[in-house]
Amino acid sequence: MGLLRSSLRLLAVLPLGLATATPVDFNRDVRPILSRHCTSCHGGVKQASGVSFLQREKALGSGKSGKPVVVAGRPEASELLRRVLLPDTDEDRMPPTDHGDGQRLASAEVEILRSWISAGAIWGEHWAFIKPQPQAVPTVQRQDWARGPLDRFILRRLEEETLSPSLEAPVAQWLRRASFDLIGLPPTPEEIERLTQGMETPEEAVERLLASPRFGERWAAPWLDLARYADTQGYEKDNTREVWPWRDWLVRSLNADLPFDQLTIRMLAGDLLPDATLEDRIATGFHRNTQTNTEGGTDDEEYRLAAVIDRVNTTWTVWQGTTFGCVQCHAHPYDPFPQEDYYRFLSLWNSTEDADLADEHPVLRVPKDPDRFQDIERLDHEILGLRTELNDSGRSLVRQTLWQPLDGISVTGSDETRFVVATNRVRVEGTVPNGATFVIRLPDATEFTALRLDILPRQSDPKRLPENGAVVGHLWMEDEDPIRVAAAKVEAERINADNEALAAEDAKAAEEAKKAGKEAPRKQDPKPLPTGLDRIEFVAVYADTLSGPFDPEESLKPGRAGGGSFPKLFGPRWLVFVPKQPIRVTSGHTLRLRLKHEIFDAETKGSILHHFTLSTTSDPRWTGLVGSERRQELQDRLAKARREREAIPATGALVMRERPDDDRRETRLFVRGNFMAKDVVVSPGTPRVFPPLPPGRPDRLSAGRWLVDPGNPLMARVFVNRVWADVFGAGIVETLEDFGSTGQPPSHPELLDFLALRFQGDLGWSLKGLLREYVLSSTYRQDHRVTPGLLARDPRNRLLARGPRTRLTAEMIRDQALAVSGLLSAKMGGAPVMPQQPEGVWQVVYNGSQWVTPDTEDRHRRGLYTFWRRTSPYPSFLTFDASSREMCTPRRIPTSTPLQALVTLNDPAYMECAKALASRMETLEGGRTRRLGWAWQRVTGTPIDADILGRLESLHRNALARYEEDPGLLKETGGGADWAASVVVASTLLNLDETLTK
Amino acid sequence: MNLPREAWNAHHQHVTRRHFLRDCTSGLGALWLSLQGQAGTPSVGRDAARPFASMAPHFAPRAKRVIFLHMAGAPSHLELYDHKPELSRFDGKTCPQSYLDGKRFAFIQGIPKLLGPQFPFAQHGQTGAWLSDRLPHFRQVVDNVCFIKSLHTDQFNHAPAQLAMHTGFATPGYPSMGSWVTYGLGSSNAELPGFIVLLSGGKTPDSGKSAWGPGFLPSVYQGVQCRSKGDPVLYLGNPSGVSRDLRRLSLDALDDLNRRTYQQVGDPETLTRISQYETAFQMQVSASEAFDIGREPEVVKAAYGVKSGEESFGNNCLLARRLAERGVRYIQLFHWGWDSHGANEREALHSGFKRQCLDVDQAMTALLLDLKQRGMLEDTLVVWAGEFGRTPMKENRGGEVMEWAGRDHNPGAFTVWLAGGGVKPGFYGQSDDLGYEAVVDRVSVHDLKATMLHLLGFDHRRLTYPFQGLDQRVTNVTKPSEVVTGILA
Repeated sequence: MGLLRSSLRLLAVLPLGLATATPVDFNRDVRPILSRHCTSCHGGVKQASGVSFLQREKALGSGKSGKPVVVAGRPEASELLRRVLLPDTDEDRMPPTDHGDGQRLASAEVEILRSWISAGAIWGEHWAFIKPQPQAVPTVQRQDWARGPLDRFILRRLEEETLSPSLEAPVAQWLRRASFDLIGLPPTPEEIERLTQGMETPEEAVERLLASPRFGERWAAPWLDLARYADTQGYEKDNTREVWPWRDWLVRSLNADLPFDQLTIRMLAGDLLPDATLEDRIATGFHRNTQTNTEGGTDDEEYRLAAVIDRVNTTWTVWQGTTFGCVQCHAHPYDPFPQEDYYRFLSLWNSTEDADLADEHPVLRVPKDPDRFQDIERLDHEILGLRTELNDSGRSLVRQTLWQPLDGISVTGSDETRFVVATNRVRVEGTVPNGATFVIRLPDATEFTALRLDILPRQSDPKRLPENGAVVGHLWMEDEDPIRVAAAKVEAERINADNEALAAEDAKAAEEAKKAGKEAPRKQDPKPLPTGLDRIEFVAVYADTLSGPFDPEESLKPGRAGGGSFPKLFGPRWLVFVPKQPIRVTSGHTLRLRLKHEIFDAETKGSILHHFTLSTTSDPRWTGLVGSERRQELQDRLAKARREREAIPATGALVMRERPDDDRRETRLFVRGNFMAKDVVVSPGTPRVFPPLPPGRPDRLSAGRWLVDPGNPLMARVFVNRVWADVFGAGIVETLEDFGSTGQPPSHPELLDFLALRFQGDLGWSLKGLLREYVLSSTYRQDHRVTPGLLARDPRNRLLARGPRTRLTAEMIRDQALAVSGLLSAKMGGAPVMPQQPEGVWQVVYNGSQWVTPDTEDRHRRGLYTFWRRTSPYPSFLTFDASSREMCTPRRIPTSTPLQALVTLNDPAYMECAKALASRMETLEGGRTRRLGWAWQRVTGTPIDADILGRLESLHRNALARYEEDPGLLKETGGGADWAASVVVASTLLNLDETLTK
Repeated sequence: MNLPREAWNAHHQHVTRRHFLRDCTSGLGALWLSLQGQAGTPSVGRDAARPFASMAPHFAPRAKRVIFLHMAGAPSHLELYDHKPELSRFDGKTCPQSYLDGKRFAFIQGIPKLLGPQFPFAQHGQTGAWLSDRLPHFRQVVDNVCFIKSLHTDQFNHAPAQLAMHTGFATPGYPSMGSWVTYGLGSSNAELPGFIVLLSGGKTPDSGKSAWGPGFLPSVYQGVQCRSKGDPVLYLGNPSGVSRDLRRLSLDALDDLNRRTYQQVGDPETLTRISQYETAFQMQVSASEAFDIGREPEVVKAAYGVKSGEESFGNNCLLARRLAERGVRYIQLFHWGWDSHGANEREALHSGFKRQCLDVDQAMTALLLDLKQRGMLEDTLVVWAGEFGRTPMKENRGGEVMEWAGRDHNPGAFTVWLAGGGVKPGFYGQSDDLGYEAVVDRVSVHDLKATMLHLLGFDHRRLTYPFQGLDQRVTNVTKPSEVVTGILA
């Protein structure tokens, strides 16, 4: 009974009413039955007894029993029909009695299946996976209501339901709604006045709002939820990060109405655009909002992959409204995506430089002064070009060089480390302490112009997890003459003693300064130890690739990172070290190569060379190369450009950066989604149910271009629907995040297709264009007042026979309180701010960061700019349904709880607003009546009437009397009695139902 | 174009205050909840203005309220309740390949070694319950407790397993058990949230707020996270300069003005808001009083090991009793810190794990004794559980021998206990000789919820809410689940 009831109700509520005369349609009639009763066991994941109803070929095949499941045209031969008709006592009956509520299919459902099979079991692709189709604008009976095609689609449905649209809303009601929907702030009384007096038309008002810089701030807010934007790294430590330049880019781009296809491509792959600007690179911060795990002992590769997977899932949720994340572990249970599709798509995202590093590499240095953006663009371009040219000169010479294995070497290191040497190949075993130095004794009479170091993985199975990285911190040579060494030792001891004395002086001075309450004086520089050993520094390093966070040339300097691979070693790497002059070791001398590891931390442990070979060459071209004028010139220019870039004051911005073509990562399918269980290599691509990638290199850019291609059936629909939901209260597809077969079907499917095609066609992907049509439509302009009859017919306003009325978002509630009280700062952008928050909310275990509320305008910035700590989001926002931003949040479900009342009544941040509003009231001339009238209109956007005025007057009077009789209580308010009573009124106004809704 | 306001007002003249009062408690309110979903009808008809009104379940309940003690991080059953002498024999032996084939581990790689139980076990009480020496206080109450030693789940990471335990689904967005129960039963105290969450152990559980989220149920049924330091509920206290009578004055005005809005607009959400402001006002007093454990006698505080001003499991257990007394329907405690991998000192069985045991042993014992002494254990169901068990193998993270002894995640078998509320003390189910897989009378996390609902008077198949085309339920429609009748008294 339960199922029968719900299925019939479903059909009655949904747009696609089933009339008996029409032939059975797979998508409309059959798929819902299969989804509801069958596919949880006979789907993509579970294919119980080998039966699946996701694709026609499978459904028309046979299960394990060998009996054909569905025989087109022959219901009597179809096992499906036989099974659902078996008596309840038969254990073969489908669905089984112990599944779900155990009920059998309703007879209406059985009849649908029978008719469908009789008619040939014709399959239909799920509606959302078929391109939007051009829709004729419907004809409607009532001719005086619709302003545009949108309204005609709505009206036709209302007429089908024998409902009439509501009357047009009073302009003040419309303007309040439109102001929040366009700029996230309430209209001022003056703005309302202009509209009601006819000094401004609604069309003009919309243009004014669309042109406001507040527009970008308002529309950035839902994007921050989608992007899981936060000012911290997430996971357990949740350290602070700098990705807010992306948020500012977003606000700028929305204000400039950057077309949505362009916005998409820039966010996903702006760095890969030809001639990418600095803005394009900042835009890619969208996908750097993934979390970074810096906890000790975590595997950087695991969390790098977690971020890549998050990017794939977020991309599908945001742009495709599809639960593609399911396919990470297995074929999609309900939609036609085999598991391989997931990894084909993932491979497009798998070759970025970021690798879950604590320093968040890659970080773009963005000038604080936007006027310097072009300087940085020029310099970055120049630096990259010069560095690449320098390295390429060596890379091409490497291929032309005949390399000789460096035979006869011996290696020593720490006592716990063993070196197994075979000709020029070294394997390192045992424990290698962090920072270890390997001393490699070169054979006598070695001569060379360049030394080649090949870093090799320990094992070669590509299905295994990559090894820890291997980085040559510092590599140099020493010619160890025994007499010089002895002399140097004596000298070293003496200097060490001197340095100890200096350190003791420093300690004493610091102690004295502390006693005197002064800052400790700067420590004295220790004297350098002798370089008495004849040290031969190399002058150049060439590498197979410049990918990774470190420049290989850093291997020439002590105390730094350098060439190699970090944080993981995916395959063999090579480095070539070139001395200034050819090295010729005369017999009897001892030449040693010292290789010091410098990179290690709790998370990555040591980045140690465990397997390498050494080779040399005497090719004179190497000496020529490093001594060439061209090289000198390039180096000088590089140094100059770097100096210039460092001199520009800048802030960090997390960005996506692609690894160079010579170092892209291989992508393998993960068995059951487990990153430790790699399977076959997959080639980049898109799910087969969708069009293929555009021609050219398959990468993030091609993925972005594929998304915005008109051939993609989903993106435009998903986006117009999301904006619709934001403005009209619920989506045409209510499940904004799931357009798949388990999501809700659209309430107005033709309207959705119409809007999608209009958005990507005539509107040129313009958000402002789309919003203009929404908020100026007759549908939107309806009065939101509702009669009990209409409420009973359509309680959730899916049919839109009245105007939308929804609660304000967390940010809007805050911004409104600041705006009406005159506190709101107009300052845009910049680092996140810390408004008032209760003590002890920020329980920061792992770092010393503090929540400090400043006494500047940063105390009163728009909610958008509030510091967002993932493990401890701003509490009053959470109470009003904001997201913790750990995952992409495609919709906030609005709630109503007593705790919300406590926020707007008692949160000191709201009290501050009430006080400021009261102070504004008190400055007005004209007495109590005028003050209360002004405040009412300022807060609610509607004129006050006698009833309300009387009620507010009595509140003020009673509060005033209360304060006058209790001076102690008045003292606590910090003001006079009139003012304090006005604060009570102001606080009440900020809590009105009218105030909290639009 | 612009309809004069007067005309509109005239149109709505018939909606009087009397109408409001009638509608508020009948027609409109009932509609609100029945039509939040998309299809079908919810199994519980509710009045929007009184979403926590006490309602009768399907049949006579054995339990009226639940205190769920969730040990976040998943404690080792092999070091607490599940006595495995066989495992001692194999301590240090290489794990047989048959135990590893087809298994997924969070951290174990290659071939690990088996790890014997790290603490001695002994039998206690009339029932002869096995306990390790880590729970000396708990010995006193074992005769009130039913141990299920054959729990299993299908999730092997914390957040999804915690969600599976509380919502029936591994992904966020589904209502938690406390939300379902308060939706079905309401609360017998309108001045306190019906579903309260208390955290200790220094960290929010991995699944975060989703473990007490309302999912697709109306959001009023979400768990309210309360703090054991400062204001128990954020912003509970009035600002300085606003006394309680002034607050009343302003709420009276607010109430009048909002009722006027409702008369004019007719939006049922306005009714909800009106009732939420009233509840907030009452909550200011009742919550402050309920959360003030300082009012308890010293002897009670000492029994729980209360440390005033701290966020501790002991304090939360005492708070749980106070809230249960005041009619809170579902009290959910999370105590974090049981993830004994052995990756560091805090996660070592011989260090951090021991401290965790000290944190909970005395307090959970005191809670059972206290409830019993007050006659509340009869109709209060207390549940103690982690989100999964631990492996009989010693963890070898990254394929390497680790300095500390620890165990990896094991969804195959773990022990939970239940007490009071119609549960028969004793044992149910068994794991295999190594405590690796539940083998006798297996109980899934869904069976556990079905059983809890049964004790509360619900047929879990009939406590449903329509969402995404399905009549959803907390036992997850895609997973078969049954009431564990063997533990019912």
